[in-house]
Amino acid sequence: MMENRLHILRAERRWSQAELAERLGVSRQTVNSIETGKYDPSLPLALKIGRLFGQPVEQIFIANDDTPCAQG
Amino acid sequence: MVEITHGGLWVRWSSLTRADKRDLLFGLAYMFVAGAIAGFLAALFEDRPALAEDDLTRALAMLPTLPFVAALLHWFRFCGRQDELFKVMDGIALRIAVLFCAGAACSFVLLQEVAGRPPVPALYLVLLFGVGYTVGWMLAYRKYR
Repeated sequence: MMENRLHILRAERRWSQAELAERLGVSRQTVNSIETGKYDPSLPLALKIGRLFGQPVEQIFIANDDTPCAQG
Repeated sequence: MVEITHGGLWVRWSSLTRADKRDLLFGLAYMFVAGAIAGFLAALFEDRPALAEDDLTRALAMLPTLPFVAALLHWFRFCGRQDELFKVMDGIALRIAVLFCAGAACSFVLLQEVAGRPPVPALYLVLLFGVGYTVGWMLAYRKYR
């Protein structure tokens, strides 16, 4: 499971869970499950969230394991 | 998009679209009809075993499959319109239902082969699938709510 900043970003925009769900085309329960860390969204949904908030996916979703990132 | 309520046993009606409501209602109605016909025929064949030998009544025994398939089609259409979490939860429920069925089928076959019990009607497996599917939804709801 990953941590995420979805609830912070949503609160900054003063959107309700239902409003965010409508913008993303998912149910309010899905938004709630993502925010509480019970469900990790699929890549398409994560990209959609990133686009909606104008931020890269890795700034919204933070993997909490110790896997090192690939070095370029 | 649909919201699941009552521990995974029902949905919030206001969260459904018009098409969702139609598919859910028709699906439930067809399932009720299939169950009623299957129950009636099962009771009839239990009461009059001679009828089960007759070709016409054996053909009649296939009658519940029509509303059952119609119910499944409505349910598939309903599921197809839902979001990814719903599909993940539905996948969990399906896996548990298949597990129930596979376990029951193995037990029935073993009882028949080893203990010499009479074969169990296929209707029992359909019922067990339904029970497993319901239990699966309840577990999925607990996991993701």
